[in-house]
Amino acid sequence: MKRCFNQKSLVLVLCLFISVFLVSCQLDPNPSVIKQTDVFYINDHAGTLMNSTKWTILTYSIELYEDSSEQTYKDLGIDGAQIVVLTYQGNVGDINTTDIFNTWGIGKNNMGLLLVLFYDAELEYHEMVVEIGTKTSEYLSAFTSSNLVDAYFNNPENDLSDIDMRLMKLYFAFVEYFYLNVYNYATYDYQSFIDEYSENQYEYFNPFPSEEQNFFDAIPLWMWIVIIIAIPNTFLTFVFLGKSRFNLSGGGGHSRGYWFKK
Amino acid sequence: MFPIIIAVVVLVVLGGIWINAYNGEVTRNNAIEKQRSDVHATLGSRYDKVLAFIDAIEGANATVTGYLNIIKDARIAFAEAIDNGELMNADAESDTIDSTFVTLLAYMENNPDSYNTVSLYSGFMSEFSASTNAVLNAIETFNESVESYNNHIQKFPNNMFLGEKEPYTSYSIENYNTTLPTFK
Repeated sequence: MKRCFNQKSLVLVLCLFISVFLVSCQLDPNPSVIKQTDVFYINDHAGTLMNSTKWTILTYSIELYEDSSEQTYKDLGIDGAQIVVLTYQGNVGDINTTDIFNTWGIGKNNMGLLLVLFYDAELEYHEMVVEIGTKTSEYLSAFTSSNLVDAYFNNPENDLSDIDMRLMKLYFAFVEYFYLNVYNYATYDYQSFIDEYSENQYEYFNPFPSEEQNFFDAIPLWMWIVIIIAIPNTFLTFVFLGKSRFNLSGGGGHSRGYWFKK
Repeated sequence: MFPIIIAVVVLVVLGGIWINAYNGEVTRNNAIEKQRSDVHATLGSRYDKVLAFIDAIEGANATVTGYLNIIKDARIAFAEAIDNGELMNADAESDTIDSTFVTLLAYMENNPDSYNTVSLYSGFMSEFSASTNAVLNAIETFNESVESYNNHIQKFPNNMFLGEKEPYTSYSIENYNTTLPTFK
């Protein structure tokens, strides 16, 4: 009888411990830092970007990272450039972009660039923050970045209501800058990328990886607790299966807070 | 036998506290020294932008010219103090540059006739803003380390062993939160 009581107590304590552990996993340790999506390069938290915009940014950011990872650039310590785009509903002071940059580790060798688009309560675009990685700032100054924003994003000839097109023009301008001015490519056919995007802008490709509902994400917390208590040996299997999906991540890059808003 | 065991335990505990206090002080002090140099590096970069702004001012009156001369002299003194490792002097000069620059901007905004043209282009504004944000970030990191250091040396029981250590002073950020006029 006493032994049975002890076993029950042990199970109860174990359940309590697991519950506390799972609940603490759910808490955001730093509310000013947004969690990155599984696809890393595009984080449409405001939910404002078109499917084609997100696929284009993901595709060409991966390509830039791979192109910049050649041995020549590794020897120079400038390999692994990463350009990440984030949309956020709120104001500039609501989130700390430097903390986000450093938590996500954008860019290998500090060769990162973060573009954050801020939207108001009606999801109207109102301002942008450009955060430049520590090593990137040796090649790309805030002065130059600001001029790129003026020339490509805030150009009065743009359709100002078409934020996706304005973003893509700016995005490819930054990509071009990396290829020509950091990695010394002879040419970069900027216009061909814009033309390609224009043709596909209103196409719907596949669901974006971060939007696909994962089976394990749909399981509520209470169900996890029941599963773990009922069949404890399956816990680790579930965890590993839940994590085994498309995953991209930062290269450990750092920003020293060199950012401006436009 | 029992008193000896007690004495040994007390000695071990005191030794552990002393080692923890000493090593903690060294680690925190090294972090502060490194972060102070980061602050000076970002300040130096920002002052280059200040000088670029000053170069864009034309036809300044005597008051504005007086401010400009103070800033230029302090910029030279700041660079010399850094070169000579005189960090306290460098901090004093940086205070002079920043407070005078903020005063200058306020004066110019209130007296637009005191100068002819200021070429404050959009790119320059962004560059200056980014440089200021980098200074703020470095100062906030430094100040967090200063708070950690000061708490470490002043709290019991560390204060028994580190009582002679001087607490560090945090940087003030009042000169870095001023919004620049647009001169439109």
